[in-house]
Amino acid sequence: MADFKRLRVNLNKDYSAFHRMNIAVLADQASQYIAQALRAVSFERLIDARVYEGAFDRMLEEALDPDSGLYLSEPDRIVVFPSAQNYRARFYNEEKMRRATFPEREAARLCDILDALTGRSGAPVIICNFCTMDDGLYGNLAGTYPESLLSGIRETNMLIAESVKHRDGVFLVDVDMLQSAVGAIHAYDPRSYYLASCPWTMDFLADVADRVFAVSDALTGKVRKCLITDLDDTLWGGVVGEVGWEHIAIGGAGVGRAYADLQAWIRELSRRGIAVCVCSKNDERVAMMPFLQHPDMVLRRDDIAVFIANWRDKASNIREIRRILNIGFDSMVFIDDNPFERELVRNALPDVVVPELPRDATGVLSYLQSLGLFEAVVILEEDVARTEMYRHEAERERHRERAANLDTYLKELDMRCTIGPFDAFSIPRAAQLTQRTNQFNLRTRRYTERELADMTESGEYVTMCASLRDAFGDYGIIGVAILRKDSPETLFLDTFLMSCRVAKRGVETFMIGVIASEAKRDNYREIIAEYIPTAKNGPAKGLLREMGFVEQDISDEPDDVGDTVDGPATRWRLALDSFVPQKTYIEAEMPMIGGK
Amino acid sequence: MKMKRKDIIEELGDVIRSFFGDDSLAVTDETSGDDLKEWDSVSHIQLIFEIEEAFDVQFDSDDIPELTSVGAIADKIETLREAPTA
Repeated sequence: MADFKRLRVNLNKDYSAFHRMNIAVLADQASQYIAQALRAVSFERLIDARVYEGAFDRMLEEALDPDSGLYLSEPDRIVVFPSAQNYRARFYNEEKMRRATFPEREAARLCDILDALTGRSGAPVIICNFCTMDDGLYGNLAGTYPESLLSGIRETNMLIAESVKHRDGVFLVDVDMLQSAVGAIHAYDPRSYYLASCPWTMDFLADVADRVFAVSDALTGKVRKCLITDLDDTLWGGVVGEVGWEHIAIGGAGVGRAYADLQAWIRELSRRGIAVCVCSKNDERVAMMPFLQHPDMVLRRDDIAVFIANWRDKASNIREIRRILNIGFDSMVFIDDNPFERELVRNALPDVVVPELPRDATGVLSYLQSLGLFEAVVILEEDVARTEMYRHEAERERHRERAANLDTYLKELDMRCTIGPFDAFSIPRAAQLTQRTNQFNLRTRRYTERELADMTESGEYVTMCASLRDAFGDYGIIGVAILRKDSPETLFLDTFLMSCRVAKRGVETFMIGVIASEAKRDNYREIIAEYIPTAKNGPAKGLLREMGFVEQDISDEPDDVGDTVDGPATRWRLALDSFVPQKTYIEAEMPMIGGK
Repeated sequence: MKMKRKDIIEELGDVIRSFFGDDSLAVTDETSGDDLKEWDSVSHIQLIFEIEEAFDVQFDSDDIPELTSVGAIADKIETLREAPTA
């Protein structure tokens, strides 16, 4: 559980170097305490959170009034945090015969608030569910008696989850689950409730705040994609190089079972799309033996995306894993029983998350599970297939090392690209790519599924998704382009992005070739594009020039093109009359793109 | 174990300075919520909880709203510490 006493010190610190985030809080209890917890915790995440405190117990009114302080605060995130105490008060005021339907009406009341918020603000809305509470009226019957407070809160929580599932732009922070993790006795403080109208302890509010930021990060694609694990005394007991693979502690009874359960959890992570990698100081052949031979091993070779066992230092090996997977250090978690290795990796690669592990192997799994390392706002099929894709990527990488030169390599990859306009199938993945892609992204415009659907239906845009497969596997959708029809002659490249997993393959050239050819066919004369620099999209900087665009002089234009802290935005033009597609090693499959 | 009034004020000073994150804060018997703008109704309950923790005492909920000066808090701590522990 968080220690707010320590976090409170942050409130007096300098936040000015951090990214600013406006958060509006709607609560039916004193929101000042929630605001304070959010502000203090934001410092830990290098965020300068400015919190708007909604009026006390006026959640619906603030949400409905388009001129309310909430909307004036221009929130980047909205947090809705109702309390079980107020739920109970309303529940007790219901006539007995209406109590059976109370949970539904309570959920509907919250849905009205959610819909008002998403209708009036583009900010993602984070809803907290109710802390389960029993009032001791019915003993153990309460859980099966529909008219008890306990059953009511449980049902409302289920309905909240259901409505989050069916709403775009609304996300759940499972406060009830947090309460069961720390225990109601640590979450609820009656003195604070009756004297200060804050039912929650500050430590608990700090835990909630931490989850709010975790979800918020996940919304912008800041999620963990990779778990790197040591082997000896981390995945199994004993040193395989000394005792031999037959004698490591795995499975069976006692501590071996703890290792087996840890492996089972890691296998589930792999199945959910986290790239599980091995980084071990061992001879590769020796380190691999348990995965291939030991009957009680849960993890098998195929569960591992990248397997590195050698005698180099672990930071270098993690850099190698990063190079192969092409993901950021901040999306990696490294676990190792050895404090020396942990410290070395922390020092060399500060962005990699390196949890301090309990010394005793039996405590490792529950500790890791409590950290909330693997946040997600959506799980797509592509995510689930990712381990396999990463493994293919590792194979491609080996192949690339063997291939004499890049052209030969690309040719042998046998790449095939399918291109088509957005449809119901591709929109979720396209929205996810706009939210997550940081590197190869010209303008870093983030869109929700609903926005993309609206754009598609409006007829004012040309939309395009590109999928790629090659000799080693299928990537699914990896590129997105959105062009706005500014005039019968001009298309504006609102969005052009590509997953970094397919960088340096010619995909961008191929995509722009298709876009330009189709546009030319439809009598457009030019495509205008912009590059808006961010802290992360440096790799996209040269794309437009490479694809044949020519930079425009925009020095005498007003604020049409937004400069950012990361540098001036630039504008580019592709003249279509003289456009000739550049050569790539990609074959088109069923090329089709929406016309005028 | 009886604590001198002076020591109580001194320790209260440490807790209050660390609570508000201001090492230069002068804390005396007379210091109250009126002198310190950060000592408002929102911070009050949290400050009281931290003082309880530091002195290993628990104030009555009835008294907490009144404990708005260092002197009043010190009085209450003295009373609680003199009372035989249950």
